[in-house]
Amino acid sequence: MTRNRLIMVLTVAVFLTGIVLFPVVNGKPVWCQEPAAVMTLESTEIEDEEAAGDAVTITAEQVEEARETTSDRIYGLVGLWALIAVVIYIVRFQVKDDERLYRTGYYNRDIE
Amino acid sequence: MRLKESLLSRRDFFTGLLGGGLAALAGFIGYPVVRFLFHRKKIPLPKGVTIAMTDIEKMAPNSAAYFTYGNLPGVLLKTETGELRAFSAKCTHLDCNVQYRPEEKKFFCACHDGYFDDQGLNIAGPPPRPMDVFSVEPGEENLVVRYQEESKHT
Amino acid sequence: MIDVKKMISERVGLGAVVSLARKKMVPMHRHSVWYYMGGMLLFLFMVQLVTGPLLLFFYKPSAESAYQSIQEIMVTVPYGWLIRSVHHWASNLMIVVAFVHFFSTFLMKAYRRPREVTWLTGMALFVVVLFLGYTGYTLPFDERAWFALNVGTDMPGAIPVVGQYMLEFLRGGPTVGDHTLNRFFALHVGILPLALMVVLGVHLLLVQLHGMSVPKSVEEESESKKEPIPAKPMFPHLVWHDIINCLILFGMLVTLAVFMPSTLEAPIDYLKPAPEGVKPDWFFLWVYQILKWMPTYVLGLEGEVVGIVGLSVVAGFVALAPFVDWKSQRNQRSPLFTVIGIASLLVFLLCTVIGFVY
Repeated sequence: MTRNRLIMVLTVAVFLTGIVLFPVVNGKPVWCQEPAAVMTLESTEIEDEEAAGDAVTITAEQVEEARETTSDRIYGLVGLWALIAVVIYIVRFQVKDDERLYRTGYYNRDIE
Repeated sequence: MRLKESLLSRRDFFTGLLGGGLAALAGFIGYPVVRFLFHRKKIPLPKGVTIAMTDIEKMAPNSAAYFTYGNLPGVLLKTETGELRAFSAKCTHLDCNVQYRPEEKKFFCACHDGYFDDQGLNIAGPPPRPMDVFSVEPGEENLVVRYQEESKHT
Repeated sequence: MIDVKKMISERVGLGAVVSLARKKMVPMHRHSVWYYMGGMLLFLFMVQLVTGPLLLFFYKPSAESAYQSIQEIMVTVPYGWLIRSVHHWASNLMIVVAFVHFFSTFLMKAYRRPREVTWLTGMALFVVVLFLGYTGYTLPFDERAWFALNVGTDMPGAIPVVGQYMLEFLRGGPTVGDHTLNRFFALHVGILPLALMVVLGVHLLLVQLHGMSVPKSVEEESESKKEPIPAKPMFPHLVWHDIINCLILFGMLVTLAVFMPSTLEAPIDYLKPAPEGVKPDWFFLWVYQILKWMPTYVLGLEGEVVGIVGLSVVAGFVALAPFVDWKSQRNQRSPLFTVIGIASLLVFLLCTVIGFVY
């Protein structure tokens, strides 16, 4: 008991000292020193018509264009449905196999 | 010899089949997601920038000043003799911005103590190659600064 | 050879989970189809959990750039239109399935003892899902979002006493603007999904704890026939069906996204008058229609106040159904609440359709 109390008192003392010392030590950031202020120069970009950057403004027409149901999208969709159909077909195999396991008495189906 | 039983149970076969099907589906769905995530913005560098000569005249000899070059920071050095040299201010080690130390006539990178001389050559510390150099053409009113594709050492 | 399966199951205790799932039996009867709704909702929520953060890679939540960032998602980012549209349709389907889940649970009186808390968490989830739908709708900050923000945040203002505080809390100021978008963004991507996940966790745990509720009619039939209700194990049987449902649902999502990608209205014009026929999203149409029918004054009180307070009372009544439905509570049949359920379903459907057409 005495030992526990001693540990408690010590912990509190350490934390209190920490709280008092923290602002003192932390007054100045120690991880780096700010570099001296530097001189900066104003620079103007030379106009360039060829530069192929992303369009700055997008119009409502472009958005509508992006929403169009293109043939690519339909092919992709058909592909997705085909894959889904195949996977469902395989899952149904599993279901049938489960039925078989049930019939052979592998497990029962009563609510406990 | 013919085995009495198949090594692969009926159940394992179906499980494998299902795993394959689901993997194919995941790939099909994953493709657009990956394309979406890996979209990078195209930000071309400008053909060049101009800096007013009147501003450069304000620079003391043996000093450096910074300017923007598209998305890159550039640093212009005026030597003691008044010669102008321009570099990309990014250290070739890990892209920190360098600072000029007039007393040593060196560029210094504070991140990992890298040094370049006043020609941009890496002389001490971790930088693997010299700083990227911009070409400078002094004119009547403006200094034209251009990024040189060939100056990019790889 | 190293048995990876065994190695993993030894370390994370997969075996316990599987044996728990194997132990769970799902009763099979003519109403069993409604049991799938929860699984579908869970799947749709997972779709949102994937597509939502993806959209965050490009979305910028500020009045200045929100609209443009959505434009970029639609036009410049590869498959941005797809991700956004799937997110949009999954949210709509989520609300549809949530309504079905809600009404089917209500009509089967699945809230009977001991599932009252499951019901309450379900109601909370329903409210969160509706608000997720509403807040998401406003994020593109287009014209439609503008009116939704104004009308939606104005409505709580009609509530007596606390109304004005709620209005300003939702708007982040006296009027709608950049600050409102910030709030709605925080709600949509931070607070509401987190709340949903926490309450959903409790909801699912409780469902596992109590097992599936069997409607009174089915229970009575099996008692009179002296036959137990047939059941199937949750794992693997029902899980297969869940997988099939989810696959079909996912196919539907992408189909909707391809043929009806989400739209983007004109950018906000602060001075433009509201366009004719401006309406809330479909899931709030019934509220909108009922409020439209309210006369300006009811017994000297403002019609809107009466409408909003009335609807809140109805919502509270439904939430407390397991405590009000005394017959179900005594494990008896409760035809009154079946009538109440069907009547509210009809009112909901009718008001939604009328709101849609007119």
